[in-house]
Amino acid sequence: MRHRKKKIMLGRSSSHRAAMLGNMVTSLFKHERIKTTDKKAQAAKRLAERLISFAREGSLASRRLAGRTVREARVLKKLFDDIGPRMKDRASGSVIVTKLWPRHGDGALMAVMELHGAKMKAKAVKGEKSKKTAAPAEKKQAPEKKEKRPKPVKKAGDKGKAEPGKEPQEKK
Amino acid sequence: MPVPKRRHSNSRTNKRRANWKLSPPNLVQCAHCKQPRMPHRACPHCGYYGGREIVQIKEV
Repeated sequence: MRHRKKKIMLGRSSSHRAAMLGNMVTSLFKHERIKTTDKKAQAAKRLAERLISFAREGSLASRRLAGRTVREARVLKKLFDDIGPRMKDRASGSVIVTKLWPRHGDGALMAVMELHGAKMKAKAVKGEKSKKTAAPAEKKQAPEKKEKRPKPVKKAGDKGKAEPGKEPQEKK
Repeated sequence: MPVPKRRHSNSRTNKRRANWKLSPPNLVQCAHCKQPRMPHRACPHCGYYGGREIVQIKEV
C-alpha cells in the first residue's frame, strides 16, 4: 500500500516526471551546479543521490542501472570516473540544495542544486567592476525603505541598512 | 437543502474578518553583508549562504 509514502509529483504524469528528472540530473552531473525551482530540486536531489551511490559502488551492474537514467554516455562516464570517487568518503549529502528567492513571473521559489565541492565559475573581474559602481546606489535607496518597514530593521540589528524583499529582484 | 434564514450584516462580516492578520516576515541578519534576509535562504544582497557564495549577484 502507498499509505503515507509521499512523492513529489510536480503536476506531471509519471513518464513526464521521469523524463524531466532524468534530464535534470544529467545536467547536474554535467555542469555541477544548476538552478531550478525548489520543489524540482528536492525531487531531483533524491534521484541524484541514488545515482551517486551507484557511482560510489562502481560495479558494472550499478553502471548499467545508472545508465537507465543518465542520458549521455559521456556524463555517465564522468559520474563513475570523477564524481563517484570524489564522493567516496561521504555517506550522503553529495547534492546540496540552497533556496534562493521567488522567481519573477510565477513567484515559484528558486533554488540552486550543486554537487558537494562544486566551484563557482570565476567571473571576478566583471563582478568587481560593477560592484564599485552599484554600491552608492544602494545606500541612497536604503533610508526610504527603512521607514516603510520598521520592524525587520530592529530585528536585523543596527548595522542592517534595511531593504528587504524586493530589492534583490531589481538587481537581477 | 439547508439555507441561511437571514442575511447577515456587513458588520458581522467585518467583525469576523477583523481577526485576519498578516504577520511580518521573520528576517535575520546576513552573516556576510549584514543586510536583512529570509532565514534558510541564500542572501539576495550578496548571494551567500552558510559562509559560501551560492550565486553571483549581478550588480546594477
